[in-house]
Amino acid sequence: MQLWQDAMPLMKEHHHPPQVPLPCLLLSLLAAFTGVLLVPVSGLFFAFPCRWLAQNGEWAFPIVTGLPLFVLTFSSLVFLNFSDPDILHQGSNAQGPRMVCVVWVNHIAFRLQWGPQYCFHRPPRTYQCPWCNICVEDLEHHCKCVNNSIGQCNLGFFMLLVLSLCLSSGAMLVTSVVFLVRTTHLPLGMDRLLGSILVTVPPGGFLVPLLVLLLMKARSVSTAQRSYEDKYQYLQGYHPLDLGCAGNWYWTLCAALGPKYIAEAVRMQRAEGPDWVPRRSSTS
Amino acid sequence: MDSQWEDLSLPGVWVSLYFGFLGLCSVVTGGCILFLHWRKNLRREERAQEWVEVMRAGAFTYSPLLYWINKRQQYGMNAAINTGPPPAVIKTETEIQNADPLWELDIPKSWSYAAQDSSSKVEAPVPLQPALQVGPQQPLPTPMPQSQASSPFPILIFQEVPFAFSLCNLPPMLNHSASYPLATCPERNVHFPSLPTLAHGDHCFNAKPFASEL
Repeated sequence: MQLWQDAMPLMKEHHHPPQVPLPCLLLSLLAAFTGVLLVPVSGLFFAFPCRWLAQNGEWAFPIVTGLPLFVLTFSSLVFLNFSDPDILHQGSNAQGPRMVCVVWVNHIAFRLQWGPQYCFHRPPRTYQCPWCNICVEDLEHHCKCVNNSIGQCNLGFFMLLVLSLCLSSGAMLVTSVVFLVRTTHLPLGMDRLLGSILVTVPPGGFLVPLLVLLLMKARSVSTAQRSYEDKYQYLQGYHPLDLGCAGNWYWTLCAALGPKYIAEAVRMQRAEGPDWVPRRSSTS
Repeated sequence: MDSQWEDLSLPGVWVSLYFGFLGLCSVVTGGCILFLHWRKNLRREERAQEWVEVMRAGAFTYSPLLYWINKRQQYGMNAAINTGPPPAVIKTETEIQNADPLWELDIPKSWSYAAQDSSSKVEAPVPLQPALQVGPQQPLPTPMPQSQASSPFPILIFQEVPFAFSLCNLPPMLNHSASYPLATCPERNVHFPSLPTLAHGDHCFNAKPFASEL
């Protein structure tokens, strides 16, 4: 008895999104601030500690931190800002709200709920992001730093961004400490002040939270958990959507790479649905 | 070595110029991000609106559930859909569908509405069709008994609440959705050449082959 009760209530519905959507500009301010913060900090870093070390023959620091890490961080940040998660568009209203719809995944039943706005039974882990105002498949969370929903399609890039930020912060911190140590005999001038303290503080402050975030997300991906979902007690620890650690990582990093959703939806319906017949309506 | 390090300091004017350059870069970056976010939201709404128009035109029907299932089956998950007709339609079919006593014993009374409102009352058991539903599936006017041997899944008896839609505990929805515009949106002319932006997200799609392969 307990088995089925534990298996069913998989939908988390107690999130309270804002009733009045905030203006687009207001939501984008934090994302703009994140991008703006990255530019001057990196500029100061490359202009002072890296320049000092490079002019004294330490080319490894600017080479490592410049091209791979900064480019990787900035490009993943830009991509995550403007990439689309898996957005589910409106259904064809073929089934109706009174149709009982249950999805079985690895012998566990998910009782699906009808969404009147999108005209289909909502698949497991599919939620309406209240900030982006879209329905996202496999919603992980809404990242306010990039003002975008993180779903299955861009969760890998979110992990890449956090990882690259950790590596960049660590490299900047190490470079700045090396610069400080080697210039201890110099007076505290403009270069030393700007090039060391201003560059050392942000990476030092962000490094620990970023590392904690990276570890938490890595654990979530490994165990197929999602932040937007309750941590239900499944069947004695059995998680129906868990493919194993390697499978979960493969699902997160590789399953999202493919064509856009709409073309993919039509192709998949045709491939797996021998009984599917396109319905041609007279309405236009 | 020490004299070398002292000589490497930047002149003050260069520092000022560099700070000005950094400020300019920051402003440009922030402005670009704000503009691109505005454009991203606008594009999402346009795509959603175009999608609704395509659906209205009846070019095809699609099932997000089927897409969801097939996508996971490709990666090794054992997934299937069970759908059943509305509870009121199949009340008389209860005895036929309750033919498997094993599964009756395994199902608690609160099984089918565990995710529903707790104040809901049990009305009648609702059988399921243990078959993969492909494409549009209308509710059966006269329920047919299902052969359990033909299904990989056992038939479960769901105790469903009549006329109690599964929306009682949905999060509050917004009045307008970018991905699901309201049906009251002003009508626009359906321009099928705009389908490229729907299919690939870039501009390399032709509507005719898209429709013809259906």
